[in-house]
Amino acid sequence: MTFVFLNVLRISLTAALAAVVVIIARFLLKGAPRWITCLLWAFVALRLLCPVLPESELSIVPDKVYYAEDVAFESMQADLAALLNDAESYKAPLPVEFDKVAEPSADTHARIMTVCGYVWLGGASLMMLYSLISYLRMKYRFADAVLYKDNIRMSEKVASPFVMGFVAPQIYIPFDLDKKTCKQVLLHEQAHIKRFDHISKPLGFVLLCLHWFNPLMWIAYILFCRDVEVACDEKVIKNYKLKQKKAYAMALLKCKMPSRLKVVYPIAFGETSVGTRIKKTLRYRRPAAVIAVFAVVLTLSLSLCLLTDPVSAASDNAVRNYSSTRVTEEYVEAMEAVTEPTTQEATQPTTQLQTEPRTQSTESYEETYEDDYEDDYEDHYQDYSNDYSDDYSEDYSYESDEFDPTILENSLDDVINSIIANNPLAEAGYDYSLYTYKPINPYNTNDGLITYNEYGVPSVKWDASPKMDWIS
Amino acid sequence: MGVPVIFDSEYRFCLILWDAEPVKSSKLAELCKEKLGWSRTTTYTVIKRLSIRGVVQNKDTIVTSLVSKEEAQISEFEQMMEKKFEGSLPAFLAAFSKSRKLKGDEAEALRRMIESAEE
Repeated sequence: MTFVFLNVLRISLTAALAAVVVIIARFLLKGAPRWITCLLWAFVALRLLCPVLPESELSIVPDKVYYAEDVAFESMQADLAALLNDAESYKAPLPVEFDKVAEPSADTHARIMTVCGYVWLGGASLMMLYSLISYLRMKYRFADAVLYKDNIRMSEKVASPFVMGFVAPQIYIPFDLDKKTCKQVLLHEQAHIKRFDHISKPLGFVLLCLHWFNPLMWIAYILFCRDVEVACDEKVIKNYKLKQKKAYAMALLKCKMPSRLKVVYPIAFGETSVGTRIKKTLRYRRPAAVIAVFAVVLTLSLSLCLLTDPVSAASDNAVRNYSSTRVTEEYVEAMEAVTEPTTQEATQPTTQLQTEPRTQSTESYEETYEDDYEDDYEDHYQDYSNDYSDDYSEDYSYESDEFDPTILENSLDDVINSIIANNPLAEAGYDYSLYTYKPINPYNTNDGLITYNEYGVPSVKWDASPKMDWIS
Repeated sequence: MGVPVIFDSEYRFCLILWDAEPVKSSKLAELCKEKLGWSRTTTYTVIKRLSIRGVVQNKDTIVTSLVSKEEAQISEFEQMMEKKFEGSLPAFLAAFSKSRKLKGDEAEALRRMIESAEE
């Protein structure tokens, strides 16, 4: 849930950014055909829909937002613990003052995010439920509208004409419309259908439900609806002479208490007033070619900027690899190569928290786990523990040109230190999570304590015991 | 007399019924699907609504109307007179003459009707 919610946040943020850009662009494009503006809103919608988009340096999305370390924070923590679990050798954490005060742990952060995630989910589902119920009520209400022609239905309950339905959209008009008005109204609604507004508006609303917490999304949606209506008007009026324009304006006035596509939002959100639309109608002129060209150029450049993600440093940066929780082959090899334990005084913690050296278990691998597996397992279990030489520091050297493991050393340090910082018990060198991980023999390898799985990846046999172990 | 109110979409339904009555409700649903675009459930709902109001009756799936076409039209006319023309026949006739012109045989039929309507 946290992972999902954090990604939703990320998407919402970037889409909000895109929306701001579109709002500015929209202002510049006031003189251009309105369908171009609608296309720009489609870009914002595309951003909301696609979690990942092709990378490009032209992207306006700032790196920090997009690759915030916070994304997948939880899974990163868990993966790192597992990663360290798998490393054959590692550097013991530097002895740190034990009484260092633990900072507010990442735990709290993760918990807050989880709560927010559930709040978001609740809000989104409430909104969607509400709109679903409204849609069904409408459908039921107008079920007894009589068929006039083709996909046009009449009902006395219709206050202002609208379109309903996705696959086979029906136009609903009132009974008492005179012919002239009726004609204009039908042209308007049919233009909506031809532009697929009956699909795009509800789709936009669904996206709004998912991002209900983001006020910019609401603004974007309202502006989008206005632009849709104006674009529709323009489509109808395209080749009209003044006389027809007047007729259209009259029709608008008469029954176009704005022709909503019956999407559920209260009218208080401000439809373009009829007055504005009438004025636009009467003043409408085909835009000049220059404006059209400008608009096209602007749209294309914005598409490059808005529809791309910032370039991630993932390919070059080993640390990035680390935190992206992918264990690459190089990493595993490098970890194996770091065998030489950096000489450190393995000091005991300076407080009462004494840890006892663990007695080595005399059980073999099979004896330890014989209850866990059925007998079949023994048939195909292969004991690799003696296949490798005990000391293989000679096999690898730091002088390898392909990959400089010293980079990883530092990274490992940073990582370990950060984990330590969050968890005071980790300073003792053992506790990384709920369990006390005490490596049985961190420096000398292979007393049957390093086991190799079928891929040859080494793993230290950890003795995981509950946290209270230190008491004993 | 108190003819129950019939709304516009229901009126279209009644027109079909008056032509087809008495008719089985299933056949009626078919007709409505064809002419009005109503689903079966919608037709049955409307039949139920109208039978509650007393406009039609549904006995053993046979649907008949309780209000005849003439009765309904008279009722509509009276309502319109009251609402739109404040009960004044001359006003109605003025509007009538402004919107349509009579054809020869229609004029004849009208004249006869006026004579018969005279008290």
